[in-house]
Amino acid sequence: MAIIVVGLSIGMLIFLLAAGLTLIFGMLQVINFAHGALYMLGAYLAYSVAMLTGSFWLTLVIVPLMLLVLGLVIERVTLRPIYDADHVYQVLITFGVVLVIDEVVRFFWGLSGRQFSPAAFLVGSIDIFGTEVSRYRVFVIVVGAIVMTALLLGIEKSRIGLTVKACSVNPDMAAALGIRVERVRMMVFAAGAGLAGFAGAIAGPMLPIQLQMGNAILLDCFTVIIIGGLGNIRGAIVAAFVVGMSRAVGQQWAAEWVDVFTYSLLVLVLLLKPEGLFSKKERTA
Amino acid sequence: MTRFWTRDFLIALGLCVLLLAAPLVTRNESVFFLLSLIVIWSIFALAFDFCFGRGGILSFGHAAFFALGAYGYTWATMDLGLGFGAGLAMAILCGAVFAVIVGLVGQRVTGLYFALLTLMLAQLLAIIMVTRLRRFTGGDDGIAGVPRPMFGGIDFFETVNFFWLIAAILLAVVVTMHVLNRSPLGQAIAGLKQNEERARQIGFNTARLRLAVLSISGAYSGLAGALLGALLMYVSPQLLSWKVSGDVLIMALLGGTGTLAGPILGVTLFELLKEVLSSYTEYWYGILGITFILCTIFLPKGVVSLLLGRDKSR
Amino acid sequence: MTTSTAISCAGVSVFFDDFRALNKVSIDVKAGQVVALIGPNGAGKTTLLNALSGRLPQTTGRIMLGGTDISRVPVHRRAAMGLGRSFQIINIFPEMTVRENLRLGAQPHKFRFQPFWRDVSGWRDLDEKACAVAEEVELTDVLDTPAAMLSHGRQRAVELGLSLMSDPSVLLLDEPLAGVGQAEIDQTVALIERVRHGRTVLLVEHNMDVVMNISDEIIVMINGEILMRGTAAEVQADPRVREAYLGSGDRDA
Repeated sequence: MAIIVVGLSIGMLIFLLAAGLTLIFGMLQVINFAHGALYMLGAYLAYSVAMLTGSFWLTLVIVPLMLLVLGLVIERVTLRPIYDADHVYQVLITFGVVLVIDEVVRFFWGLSGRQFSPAAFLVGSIDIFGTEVSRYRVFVIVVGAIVMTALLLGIEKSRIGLTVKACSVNPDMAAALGIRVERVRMMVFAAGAGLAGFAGAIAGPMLPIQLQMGNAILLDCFTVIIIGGLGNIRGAIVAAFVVGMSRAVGQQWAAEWVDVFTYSLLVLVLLLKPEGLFSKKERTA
Repeated sequence: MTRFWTRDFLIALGLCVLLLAAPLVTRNESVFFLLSLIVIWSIFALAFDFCFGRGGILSFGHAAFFALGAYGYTWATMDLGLGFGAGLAMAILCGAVFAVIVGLVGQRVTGLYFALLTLMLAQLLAIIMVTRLRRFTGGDDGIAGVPRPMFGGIDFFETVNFFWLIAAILLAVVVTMHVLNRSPLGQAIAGLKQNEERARQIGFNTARLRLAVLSISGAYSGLAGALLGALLMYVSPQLLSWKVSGDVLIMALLGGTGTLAGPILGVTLFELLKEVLSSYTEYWYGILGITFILCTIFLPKGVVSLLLGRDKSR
Repeated sequence: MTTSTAISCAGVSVFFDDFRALNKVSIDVKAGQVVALIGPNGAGKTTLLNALSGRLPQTTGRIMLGGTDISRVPVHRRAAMGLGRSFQIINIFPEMTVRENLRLGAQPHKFRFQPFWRDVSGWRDLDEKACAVAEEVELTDVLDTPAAMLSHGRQRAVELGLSLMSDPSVLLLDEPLAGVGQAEIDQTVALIERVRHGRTVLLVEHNMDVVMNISDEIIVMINGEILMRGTAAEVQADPRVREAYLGSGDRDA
């Protein structure tokens, strides 16, 4: 039971990031390399905000908003000027953003790891079916599930979701219909950044906050979005839990083999079903 | 495509000659170490750009070819007791073979998917080499004592002599790449980049062309890796880090892709920035990041475009 | 003119998931014929060309080029076997000059095991072939101009020229007049008239005046199936064709 809780909680974190990545890819056709760095920045900011305000709940609200604003700025300053260039350059510029965020974090927080505590009632463990599991991890799973449901409803049912879909499928037509595509792009990027910030904030009390945390999880997210299919949010859910569970199982029994397993799975997917396990083949005519 | 002596080629040759002439100006050890790094990374950046700038294939996993070259050289010289030339051949082979494997695995994916695949395969290789193949790779500690060449009674442990040797190799790389780009194969690769669908429709086996691009790029990368191993006299899994793939990509883009002079200029700029900035601040990597972002926005064709101007036939 | 079949397909279907873009289509084109495929948008014309050229795998059915079954032959091999094609959207090598474009077109066919490192401009037969085709499609005056700088009509000519470099016996042309300005239409039609000599042509085209003029036979498609086949006069007289066009609310004619 404990291992399932661990796996699900890791899966939730990965999902929150992969969802942002895949949303951004669906809209901007850009793989955001800075996503891991945004997550890490979120975790460090959460540490500082928690120290300053003393409120875990306030932290969970403030940090995503900060990252959202940062996302707006990053999109406006780096991606917007090169919309017309080859997509590859937009991907590569996010790579430059990683270097900058890494250094900013190093500048303000230094090299030492950080950790902060969640609200009091989330500390300790509870008993589920006879096993002791961390309260906080259960909390992460519940919160993650709520966000996941909200995201799915938002994307598939709401007006906003429709607008975003219209812009990603055919930006020219969407523009002709009076949608401000540039603004939608900016909002989607910012929303992804906000999600990354949220993930970072809730990861704070669960995992050590350190400089490498972003890159480590980013690779898992790439695995997830490839296995799930780029731009496919439902695929990302399933894949996130596969990767999360294998991480949890691996930590318990065979740490060395986890990466070999997940990456081999990834290679298999690319060999057999490159469009992702959960995506329909695209029409090419 | 009309002239053999394009401006790009001439600038690249000029840079090589400048490097070769450096020992006439100074004999400072640390300067030569820096110049040696510039030479080796230039070869690597040219190799990377053969893939990205010429073949249109983006890769985030070139570190794998580079590192395998370094390890291949180490195995050939230290374990098998082979000479410098055979060591380089082994390095080239290792880089090329792994590149072909990557190409075969990624046969059905293109563009960003393929780029992500290269990243993942490089990571997979890194993990396997550090954890499973510790006997051959020395694990996280790496292998020390990688030999430098010995021939003609020249002391290659003297940094200047070694520098001359690798600068000559860089010159050879530039010339062979230029010839390659102008060959029918090079033209077919240019066609692959500009319009893969059309290339297939006029009768090119584009799958095989992609493999050719990857293996050539992997081979040159392996060569560069071997030379770095020999320069440092040490190889370690650090070479497999995705940061290595990222660095080479930044270098090539800073300088200007699809050219010969660009990658060399990019590497020079990168290494000099690093050298100068790191003496003022420990946060030089961030400043590099800002430089890279600004360059991507305002100089998308790299520093070399300032020199090439509007010369269409570069 | 011989009467042997140059290209044919039998029972070819293409499904996208559960959508049937082509449903058991069988056609045959005699050597030397010019056959036009017409029909409302979404009728499956381009899909048929894609299946014939190998760009799209057919779900079922068989494709024959001359006497050879090419159902499973990849695109580049079909091209080498004498099946040339042009695209609806201009599909050339934009950064290369016209000469480089055409030379590249000849390379897979004229170039075998010679020393691969020799400068490409040193291959005389590639150059001669490029010049010959440039003359055929009237591009001699712009041989050394980058293709991206040409007018749309002339890019069409490059497109056509590229398809000719492999000495195809069968040419598939996908809307060769798409995007060509009124002034250049006559030129492009004359071009098609010229390259058809000694070749078999299957084309998709929306410009009905042109279709009626240059084709020996016309095949009308609708909803992934063949509605009828006949001469220009027969097609014009057939009420079903009129209905097919009017019914879809699409009057390209």
